[in-house]
Amino acid sequence: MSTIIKHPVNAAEFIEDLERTHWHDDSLWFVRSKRDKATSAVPEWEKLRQMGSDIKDHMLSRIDHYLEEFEANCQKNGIQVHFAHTAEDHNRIVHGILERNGVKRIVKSKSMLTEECHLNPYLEERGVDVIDTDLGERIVQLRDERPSHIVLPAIHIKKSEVSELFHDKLGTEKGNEDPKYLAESARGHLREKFLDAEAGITGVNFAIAETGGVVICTNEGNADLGIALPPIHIACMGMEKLIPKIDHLGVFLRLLARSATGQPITAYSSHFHGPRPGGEMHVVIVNNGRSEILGQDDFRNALKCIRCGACMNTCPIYRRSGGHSYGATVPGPIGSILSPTIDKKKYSTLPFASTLCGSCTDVCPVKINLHEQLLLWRKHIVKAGHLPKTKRFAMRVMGKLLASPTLFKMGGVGLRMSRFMPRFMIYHRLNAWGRHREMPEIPKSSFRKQLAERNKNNSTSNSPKGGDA
Amino acid sequence: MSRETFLAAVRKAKVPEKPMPDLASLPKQRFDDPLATFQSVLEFVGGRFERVASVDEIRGRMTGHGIVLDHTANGGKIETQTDPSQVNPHENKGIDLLIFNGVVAVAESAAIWVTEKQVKDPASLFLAQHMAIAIREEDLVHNLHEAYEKLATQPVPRFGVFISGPSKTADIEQCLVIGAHGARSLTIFLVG
Amino acid sequence: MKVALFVPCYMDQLFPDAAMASLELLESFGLMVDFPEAQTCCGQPMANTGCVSDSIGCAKHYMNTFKGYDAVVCPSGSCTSMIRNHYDGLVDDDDETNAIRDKTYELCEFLVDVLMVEKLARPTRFPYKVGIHQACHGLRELRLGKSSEQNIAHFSKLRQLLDMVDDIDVVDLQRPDECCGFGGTFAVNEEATSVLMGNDRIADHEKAGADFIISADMSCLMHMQGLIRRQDKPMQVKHIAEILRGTEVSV
Repeated sequence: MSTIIKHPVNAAEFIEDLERTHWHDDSLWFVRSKRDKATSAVPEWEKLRQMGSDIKDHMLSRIDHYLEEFEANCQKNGIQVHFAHTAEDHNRIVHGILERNGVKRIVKSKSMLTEECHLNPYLEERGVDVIDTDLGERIVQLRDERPSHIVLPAIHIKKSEVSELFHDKLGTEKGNEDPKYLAESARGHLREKFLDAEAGITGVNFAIAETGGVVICTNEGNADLGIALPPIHIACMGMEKLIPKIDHLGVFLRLLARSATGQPITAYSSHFHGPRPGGEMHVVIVNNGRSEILGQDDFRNALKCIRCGACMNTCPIYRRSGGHSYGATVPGPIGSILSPTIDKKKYSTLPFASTLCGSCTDVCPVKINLHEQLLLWRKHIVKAGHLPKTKRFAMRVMGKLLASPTLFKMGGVGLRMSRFMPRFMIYHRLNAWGRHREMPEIPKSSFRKQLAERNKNNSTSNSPKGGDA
Repeated sequence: MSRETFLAAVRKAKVPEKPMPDLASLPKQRFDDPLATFQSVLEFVGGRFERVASVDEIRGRMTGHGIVLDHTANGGKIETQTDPSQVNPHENKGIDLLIFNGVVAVAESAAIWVTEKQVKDPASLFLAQHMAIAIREEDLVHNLHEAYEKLATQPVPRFGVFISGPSKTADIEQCLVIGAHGARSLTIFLVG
Repeated sequence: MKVALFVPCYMDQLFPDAAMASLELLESFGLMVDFPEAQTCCGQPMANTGCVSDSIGCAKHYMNTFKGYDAVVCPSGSCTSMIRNHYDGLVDDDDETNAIRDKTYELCEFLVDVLMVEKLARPTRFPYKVGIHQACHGLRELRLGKSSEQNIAHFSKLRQLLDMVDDIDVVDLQRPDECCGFGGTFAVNEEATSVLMGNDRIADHEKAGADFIISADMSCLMHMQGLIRRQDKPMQVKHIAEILRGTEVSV
């Protein structure tokens, strides 16, 4: 029995603190602006997006081939490859590797895939200590929260709150909110964890079929520390992270950071083609429903996603409601497309948490038709019967009324229509339009009536009988 | 077996074929003065730039550091570590300044490519508090595509990284802090 | 040229002045414009809620109503986009139907791209500060202008037309094409966010010193006007047709 995530309710709660909402909105708009600056410096940007889109389109159309090519080449490089059909498989495989090696302490860099599989609680339940090393992820981990953004996990948190948190958990100076001081404290705290770790778990930004390797991009260097220090590296990836050729990295690395944070590239773009001497390297490839999406013409495009977060930064609703309001691992526009594939009913409000403005589609570095897919999801959700009955009924009535010229034309329906349309809008919730907005004034006569009058007047004045010469 | 179930599910999803696009058809940004572009982007990403006549001068320019590990000496020839019993990445934790040669420098992103051939243990790259990288003008390319083309002439290394500026984070209220977990500073030395 | 006017259902009922301005504007360029009385609605309210089958009646009716014209002009970007871009599966895929779809134009794009208007039919003044609200469907689905997300040469059909008006002062906004938050049923389903988005748009225009918010989509203006009136603000809204045709206002 899945509880429905009620985005409108969550959003309304978020917006109650108006000042904080404006702050959140401004912070993310700032990231969007940095993206614009970076992309406008690349004259071929729109062609680059098209190329990224075409490469991913091609890869998806032959993904079975590339999966096997990737596996074979990884194995040639001494990398162990595991296929996890479900999230549970993934967790079992990862834990299995750790258990076989007697690992109790791990460090983990940012991986939405491991979030999706709920790896942390799985490992913790089995006595493994998991430290998330990306600063933003560490902050939310210490707060016992989920990340609210896939690239900027702590974007919803103020520095005063980080200060309090670090004072409580790391023993930093009370009231010292200086970001440099706080980051430095985290550096020291996490350095110990890196040196102490027995294994490092990372995500994967790009997996190269041609050469059998993976690329991981960070600004902090935390993934690299987690890989270079402990002897075991486990890289977890959704299958869609594949790219056919190493040359394609030129396209994707140019697209990724500009879209995500407005940088030409992240501080570190690390390429791994084998375990380090004396070490082990594993890649866990996850399906977890992706093959279902792959089979759907309507939603296949969503698998091109390179997890840059640009759609979230630009979404006027995400910025004003926060990532947690979506109740999903991945929030925002792409999250509102991926989540209903997991549970249509639970996430049925998400595709409606959008005005379909299309800004997400225009920023997406791989040209996913995000806003079109949100509309397509609405169709599927209605078909599955998850639209509230009152709304469904209203639409049915409107559909009949508006299609009939007779009903439409009747003066009565004109007035009824103008009162009905707002009423349909407030049908779902009493007076929802009228709570903060004045109703539109109902004019004395409709346009068609005015036109009819005008034409009548014209023909009268032009008529020979009118007395004109 | 998970692998068979997985691949079967993928194959079932009959996806209409889409051709592999031709990378050559993509116009790729070049600059009138790639070195000037490199310098300005380096500044943007928080790095420093200096010119020296030879690599020997680098030590002298980077004063006030504790333990220095300099891989540019001896013509930059170092042994990559293949003997597992000799590997202890933790040894690098005391390094204050790491100096090494860059392989390729990318103007559009001020990114430098480096592998185990230039630093021996990748752990040093991320444990060192400060970094200095030596590059030559002939190592400079305009964009990332050109970098991969240049690298294609060599076998794919076990480990390689594009480094652009020092480590950083903006996770605390979007305030940029230089020196997250990796290097606190990065200086590029153009040699020659 | 045989031209018909398609007036969005809500404009017909709630904003007749803007609809009349659209007609008169087209006529000012010497066009004889038909208004097929049988017209009703493009079907968007139902389709956008996912109730696609409930929109088929409207879509089919549109096709029947607008047969045989060289162009159908509609003073709404969202309705026009519905017809041109979202009628697949709702109407037949044949030459006649596709021709009607292809020849359905939004008002500004018709003036700029088909009539290729370079100046207004008669000198028109609007000596006020105006902000352009670039409605999302018109902007990103009909490409009435360059969106801020794109890296292409700048252009704006709305601006091009407004520049033909004497003494008009178009102000620069902080966020030139952020959504107003109407979004059809969104305005009621996601009320809190919708209201906040609308208020933020209005504030942007206020900060830029605009007296008027001008748009080519009345639905956005209806939403913002509702907020403006409730808050007793002096800001006014006008459909671009009213400005181009010439209109009397008091500020």
